[in-house]
Amino acid sequence: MIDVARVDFWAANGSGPFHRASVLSKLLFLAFVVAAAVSARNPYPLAVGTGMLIVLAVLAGLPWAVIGVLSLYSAVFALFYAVSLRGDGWTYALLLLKAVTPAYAVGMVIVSTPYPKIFSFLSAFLPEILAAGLFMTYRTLFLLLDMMDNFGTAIRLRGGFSPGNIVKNSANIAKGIGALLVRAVERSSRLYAVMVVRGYNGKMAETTIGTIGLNDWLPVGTGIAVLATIILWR
Amino acid sequence: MIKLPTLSESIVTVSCLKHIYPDTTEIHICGLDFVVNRGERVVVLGGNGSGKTTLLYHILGLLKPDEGRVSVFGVNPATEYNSIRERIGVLLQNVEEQILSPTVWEDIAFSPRNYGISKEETGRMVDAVMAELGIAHLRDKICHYLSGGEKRKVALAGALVMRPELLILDEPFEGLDTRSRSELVATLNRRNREGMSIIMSTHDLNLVGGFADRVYVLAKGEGVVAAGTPLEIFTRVDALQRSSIDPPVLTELFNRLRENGVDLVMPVNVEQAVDDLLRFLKK
Amino acid sequence: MTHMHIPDGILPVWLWVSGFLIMACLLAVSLYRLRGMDMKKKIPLLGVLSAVMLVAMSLEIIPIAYHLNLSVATGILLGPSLGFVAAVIVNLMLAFLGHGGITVIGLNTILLGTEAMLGHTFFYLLTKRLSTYWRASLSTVLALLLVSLLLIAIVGISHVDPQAYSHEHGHDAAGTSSLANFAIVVLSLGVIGWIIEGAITGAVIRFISQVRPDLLAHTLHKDTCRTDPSRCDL
Repeated sequence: MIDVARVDFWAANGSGPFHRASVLSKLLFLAFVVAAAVSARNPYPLAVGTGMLIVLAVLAGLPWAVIGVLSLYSAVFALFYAVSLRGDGWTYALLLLKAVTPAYAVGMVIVSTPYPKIFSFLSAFLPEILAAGLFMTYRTLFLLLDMMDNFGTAIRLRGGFSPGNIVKNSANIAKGIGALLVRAVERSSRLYAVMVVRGYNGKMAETTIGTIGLNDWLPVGTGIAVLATIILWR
Repeated sequence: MIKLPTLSESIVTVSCLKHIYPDTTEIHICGLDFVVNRGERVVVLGGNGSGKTTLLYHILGLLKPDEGRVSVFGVNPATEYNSIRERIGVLLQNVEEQILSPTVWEDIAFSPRNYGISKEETGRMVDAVMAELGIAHLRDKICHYLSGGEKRKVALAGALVMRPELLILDEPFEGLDTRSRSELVATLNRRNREGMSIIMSTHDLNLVGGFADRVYVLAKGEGVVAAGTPLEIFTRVDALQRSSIDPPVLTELFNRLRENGVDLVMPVNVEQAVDDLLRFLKK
Repeated sequence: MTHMHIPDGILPVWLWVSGFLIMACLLAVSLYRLRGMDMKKKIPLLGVLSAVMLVAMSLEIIPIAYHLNLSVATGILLGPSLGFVAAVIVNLMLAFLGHGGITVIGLNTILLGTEAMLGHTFFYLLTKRLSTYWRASLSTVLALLLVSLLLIAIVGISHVDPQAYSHEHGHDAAGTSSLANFAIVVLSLGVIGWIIEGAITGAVIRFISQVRPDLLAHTLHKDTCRTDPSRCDL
């Protein structure tokens, strides 16, 4: 899993054109790129599209190399799927690019948009339970990652990890996960109490759709350009 | 939201409370009645396991007593909390669990938004309380990455944003340095002068002198063992010992002086102690 | 864990659209079953346990090839309806963490949610003559086996038109698909993962049964509070 803290840092501390663009425009950008990947039948225009994304990431000051590494994760599984098709080189290239291109676009969106803003946008379309659940999950994720980390440290300090002893290590990991689950459930009881006393009535955070403005031409334009390339270069 | 203080009007009354937890642990808080009058600053003192948090949770309606009676603003909070919750602010011991929303502004706006206050008014209220606590610069920050002290201020802002008539704080000074404690006390005293009543639990007696109008002492298994002004409580060494609380340093000092023939009025804070000693020395 | 790492652009449009539609139907049924439960209880439970699943997913048992997901443990604690909603939240979060495609959220949710639901069902159906550890372990292995078969079926359906990947510019057709190859790899790698996850889930549930046995007594996942409100409290 990616380092959420690093992604948060990039998202919250950037100031380039992609950061300034609205959530709506970036999600439209993502939709266009996914549509391009879905409809592509030829690896060449898709390669050009991927190139456009990389150039945009460089010009917008995004961590383009890190995004590239992130998107390669999807390439591994695309390759695996390609193997199952017993395809030729063309097939492999097409499937790899179909995987990498939208993954790169997702990477660009998440390193330039704080998660709370993405969830605020999604909460306009999702039922309250899902929208609030997303916020609550995001909020809790960090705490639990810290908790798991602390537990790992405690186990190591107390001799609970032995290199090569899979059974012992697995047993201790299981205890850690069990403790995590119990504490998570107890935490949910306390969160319930807090939601009661703070007056929760269906609004976890602001719902924002926003509009397309001057700052948004770059992501929207790039997304349209990628899709147009795929459609026109058949 | 704030009514003019009328000291004689009691807003919280707890009478002989008994609660049994799911793991069969029983908490009895009997002895003296626990009463908070409007405009008072009440401190609940007690060691670990004495029932401080249990008491506060009953006042907040989060627990239902198995025996006894709890009344807050004239209603039973366990069954009618919705009718009074806008009048009560809470700062829990673990502020990490009190912060619900991802960003600072969103979290402070949580209560006003959920109480149906307009977007503009919510904005004004949030900006005002952020300015009051000096955290306006944290507006768009993600709560998780704040320092412990900053998180506590954000949680306090969330508790104060609705300008509650009653603020309840559970061990608010845990983990705070001296300066942060002073800032918190100053904020609470300022709001109290504007009419807000305060109930605070702590096991640190040294903080009581400069703050409380009234103190209740809880002892594990015994309930309320003493009640009175800070000065009255400081001299109740027996009650303090039963609740596993060390008397304040000043109390110890002046008791030892008394044992050695120097009979001075027991002070509640350092300033008073200095004045009394200087007067004695000049004689 | 049965998470379809097939990235965007690979599966036929009708398949992933169907995935979203089926997910929406199952979600609607789950929300209907949960209608009596206080939202202030649902949201913290969903948030913390979805976060626990995400934390577990960061623990890679076999790097890239297999990681925990605790879907069965979550299903046992939360019940089938809340467990399915948690699966929706987890897959939404994963997509925006760059782990898995956007278009396959529906299909991945069906897989993860089915694991949670089946795990819950098997755990409470298996004879109590078995210890808690073995009930949880066997439930996990069975659930993962069945969902792996479902995954193979989905991939098999997606191979309906392998020609779609290869027919441009005179390249040869991709040749026949090899679902059997894919199935062999998934099942053979999967067995190792199921055993590990089964063992860990068994240990986790056993830990919970020792520390908080009430959590296994239907206290959390009472889907409605209408018939017996006193049994709904956390």
